[in-house]
Formats: sequence, structure tokens, C-alpha cells
Amino acid sequence: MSGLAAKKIAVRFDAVDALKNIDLEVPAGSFVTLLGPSGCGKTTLLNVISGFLKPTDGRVYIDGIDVTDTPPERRDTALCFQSYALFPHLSVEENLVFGLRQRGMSGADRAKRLRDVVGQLDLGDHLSKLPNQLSGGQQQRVSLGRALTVRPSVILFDEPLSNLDAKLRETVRHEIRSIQQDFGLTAVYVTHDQNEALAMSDKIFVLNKGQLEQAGTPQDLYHAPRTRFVADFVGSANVMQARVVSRAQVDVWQVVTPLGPLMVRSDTPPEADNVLIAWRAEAVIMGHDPVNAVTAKVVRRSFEGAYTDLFFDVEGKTFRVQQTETNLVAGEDMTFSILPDNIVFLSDSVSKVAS
Amino acid sequence: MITPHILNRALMILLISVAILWLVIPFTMAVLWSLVDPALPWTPDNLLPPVISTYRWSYMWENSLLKPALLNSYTLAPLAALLTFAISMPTAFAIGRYDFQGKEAVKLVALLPLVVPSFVTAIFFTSILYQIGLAQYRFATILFAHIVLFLPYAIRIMSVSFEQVRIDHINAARDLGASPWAVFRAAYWPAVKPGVLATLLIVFIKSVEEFAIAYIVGQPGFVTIPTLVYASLGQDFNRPNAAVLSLILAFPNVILMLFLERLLKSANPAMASGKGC
Repeated sequence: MSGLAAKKIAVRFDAVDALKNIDLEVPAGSFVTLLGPSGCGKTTLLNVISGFLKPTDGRVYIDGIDVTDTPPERRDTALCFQSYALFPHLSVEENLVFGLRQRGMSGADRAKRLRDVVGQLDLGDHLSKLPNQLSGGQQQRVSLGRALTVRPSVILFDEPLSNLDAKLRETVRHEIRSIQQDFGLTAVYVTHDQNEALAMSDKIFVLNKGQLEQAGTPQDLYHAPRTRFVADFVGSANVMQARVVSRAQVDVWQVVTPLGPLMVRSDTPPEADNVLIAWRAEAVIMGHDPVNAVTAKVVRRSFEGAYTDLFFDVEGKTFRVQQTETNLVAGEDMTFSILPDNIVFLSDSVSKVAS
Repeated sequence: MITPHILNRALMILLISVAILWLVIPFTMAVLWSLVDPALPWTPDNLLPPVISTYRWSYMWENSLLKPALLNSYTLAPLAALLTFAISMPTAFAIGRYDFQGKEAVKLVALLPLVVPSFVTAIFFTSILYQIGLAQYRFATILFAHIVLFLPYAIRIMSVSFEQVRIDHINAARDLGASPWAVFRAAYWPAVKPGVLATLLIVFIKSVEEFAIAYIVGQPGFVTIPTLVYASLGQDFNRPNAAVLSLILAFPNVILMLFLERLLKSANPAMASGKGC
């Protein structure tokens, strides 16, 4: 298989499991994101892939070849560092061709590779400058360019945008994605930012406490989170307890929740009688629908520009409803309905094992 | 009302006065005293020596132990600098690059020799050197003693230098396929270069001006510049001769310092451009 594969990766530091039994597949030319909070093991996994860390267990394959014992120097990966890690005493040009020099490439070939990357990243005016004479965004591009010139089988990103300001982050995000697609790069991208992950990835692997919580396309993760952690971490869904009362149809269940009785349509049955369910703040319809209607008092309203968050409390828990246009203010009652399709059963087995 | 302008001027004046007190006056006095003619002494009623003569310079050059002292000092110092640097390397590397138990204690112990007055160290140290029978090889003994005495400086400076080496630079170089030598050149050398030069410079200067051990081990017969200077301050005190000697002692160090300053500046472009990276 071409691309990257990691099979049954485990990493233990002393008695602590940093990674447990992770399987990762990145088909050639695809963009895969490792998403999770700090300390979830995503950077550890990246270090295993790049060769800086030898896994306690498991194997890493690049284009079908086992590279687990190959040191980073000889592994066909290139890493874009969070800190950029540009060599401060070398000019932009020397930074860009650093990897090619190490491979002993001839001057003419180097110049050609350099031209390609410089054109793509628009760095032509900066070649003779030193890294500290560049802005953060430019340094980020040099760092990307330095990884691109060696044309690696797999390009790795370690939170490359976290040192940029919010506006630039969005621009560079698109830039990285389009370069990845233009070059047909196989990419693994590490981030804690769910927006980044959703916007850029072909596939997202959500990690929590060293374990894989869920893997899937951005749409899968967003609309069908399988665990409480994923539901909360990706797009902060509303999560609540539910008791399954009856099976109304083949794929519809009736449940009792703090918000009252609700109908849930799901392809997978609930795992137990008492389960967690999740629904997205924006996946509601305002007004009194005959199915799954809920009435609650708005306790807080927060205008976010494109939408407005309306918060309400039930049994000491705060829930959130999102509307693009609303006149409701705090203190007013609102009635909305959550369509049965928009509610998912969560399975919390993964989180339980991990904690 | 104190404006920044006035403050600036005041500080400038202060700096200049300090420089005059510390440098210009002593050096001018030394130069003037070294040019006094032996036949016409410089008496307190004259602002300047009555006759300017280079007699002292040629006399000291021909009729003193200046030549062997210069030879000894300027062979000792570079050797001490290089060897101290080399020997400090493993400890400094370990302190700078690794985390281990008792690291702080090791740091403290490595610095301990600096807090003991040098003459005290010298006396006990030379008695050890006599006991182990080293003291008959005077040059080697003094060299050995200088290395031991100045190791704390080298370890201190070099361990801080090694701490400056960024792990992400090392990893970036390795990730791009660099050999160990290329990793050293790309990630280590730029960060440790100022420290290497500073270590060599400091040990060199420390060794050139070290008196206690050179005196105790070397007397009589083996002279270095400081023992020669102290000798001419003591037994046969002669201010013009001492002035000549101290100027000769100071001169190469000043040149060396300027040279290394220039080297350090060109070594660190990030520093020169005034922007951190």
C-alpha cells in the first residue's frame, strides 16, 4: 500500500502509557489530521512517524516498507515544526536547500527545486534574507518550503499555525491545503484546533489520553460523534443523559431526557438503557414542531457575528442553541424542536477505558 | 524636571569619568613612567617627566627575564585555554544537554573552586603537586594547575552555551537527513560559537595573569609575566621598570580582546541585527 501506515503503535514512558494501540492509515495523497487536546499523544504519534521516537510496540510503514527502525535522517518524511526551527544563521535560500545539500544533490538540480518551491510559496524577494528579518507568516512559509524541497513521501505538520495571529492562520490554512493538493502530498497534520481540523482534512483521527477516540471524515465526526469526548471536543455539542423507554420503529427510539421525552432516529441501537445522547446547537428548528418540542427560558444570549448563541439551564446543566437570526433576549421563553435525525447515541466505552 | 535627554547626558558623563578613572589615568601614568630617563628622575614638582627616553624599554628588554617570561606566559596561556576547553567539554555537555539526578549539585560543585581565594587554593594545591612528585616539571605543573583552576569558568560558560542549542534545530537538521557533522554545523556550532570563543579568551587571560601558582611552583628560575611584575614591585621596586612590564603584560590582552570582540560580532548575525529569533 502506498502512503503511510502505523499499526498497533504503543508508547510507554516509564509506567505511563503515552499511546495505546493506535492504528493509523494515510492513503497516498490524502490529508490526515491528528486532533486532540494537549497531552493526548498526538505529538508523540507524530514523533513516532518521523522517527524521533521509537514506539514500545507496533510498526510504521511508508509505501509498504517497514521503517520502524529507520532513524529520522534516513526516513522519507519531512516535518514542519511549530517553532519553524529555521536555522537562524543561514539565509532563506540556504534554509530551503538544506535538505537537498544533505542528500548531496548537484547545484543545477538544487537550483531547479529551489525555483519550483520559491515560485509556489512566493518567497522570491526574501532569498538572501536571514530568517529573523521575516515576519511570522513568511517564516512559516520558509519552513514549509524547506520541507517541500526534499519532496518527501510523507509531510508532517506539528501545529504549524499556532504561532500566527488569527487572521493569518486562516489564510495559511488554505495555502497549506492547496499546496498539499497541488503536489499530491501525503500529509499528517497535528493540531488541537478543531476548526483547522474540520476545514483542512480528508480524514481526522481524534485522540484522547493516548487512545484513538474516533476516526472519520470531518462530516462524520461532526454529525455522528461516537463518544462524549468527540461530541464535546469537535464543535461542543450538547450532551445529556437519556433513558431508553421503547423502540418506536426499527430505527427510532423513545428516550426520556432532562429536556423531556424525545425521539431519536439512529442506524445503530443504543448500547444500554441508560446512554448519553448528543445534539448540535445549530441543528434545531425554532417554533413548535409536533416532534421533540422543547420549551426553555433563555438565560444568556451571546452574539457571535454569523450566529447567536442562546443558553438555557435544565437541572443545573447549561445547554446551547445556535441561531443565525433571532430576536430572543435573556429572560424570554423559546420553543424549538430537535429533529430525531439530529440526535445521536454516544458510546462511552472508549472514554471509560481511557480514564 | 529630568528629561531623557538630560539623563542621557548625565549617564554619558558618568561613563566617561569612570573610563578616565579606570583606564585613561592608570594607562597614561604607566606610559609616562615607562618613559622616564634614569639620569633625570621624575620629581613631584614636574607635571611631565623632564626627559622622554626609551631607555627603560630597551633596558628591560635586554637585561631582565622579560623574554623567557613572555615565552613562558604566551606558551602556557594558549595551551591552558585549549586544554581547559577540551577537558571541560564532557561535563559541560552533560550539564547543558541532559537532565539527570543531582544536576544542580554537580553545577555547584563545579563552581566551588571560584569562591575560595586563589592564594589559598594555590598553596594547598601546590603541596599536593609536590606530594605526587609533579612539581619538578615546572611548566607542565603550572599548566596542569591552570587547567584545574580555570575549569569552572570553562564548564560554566560552555554548559550555558550547550543549553542554548535548540532541540528543534537539531531535530530539523536530522529530519532533513543531516549527518552528525552536518547537525553539529547547523544546530550546535552557531549556538556554542560565542561560548567557545569566550571560554578560550577568559582562560587565556586568566592564565596570563595568574600569579599565585606560577610563583609558588616556579620560584626560583621559572618566570611568567606576573611573577616578573610582582618581583619588580617587591625586592627591587622600580616604578619605571614595573610600568614597562605592566604595559607589555596588558598589550597582547587588549589586542586579543578587540580581535575576539570583532569575531563574536560577525559570529552572530541575529545579535548584530538586534532581533531575536
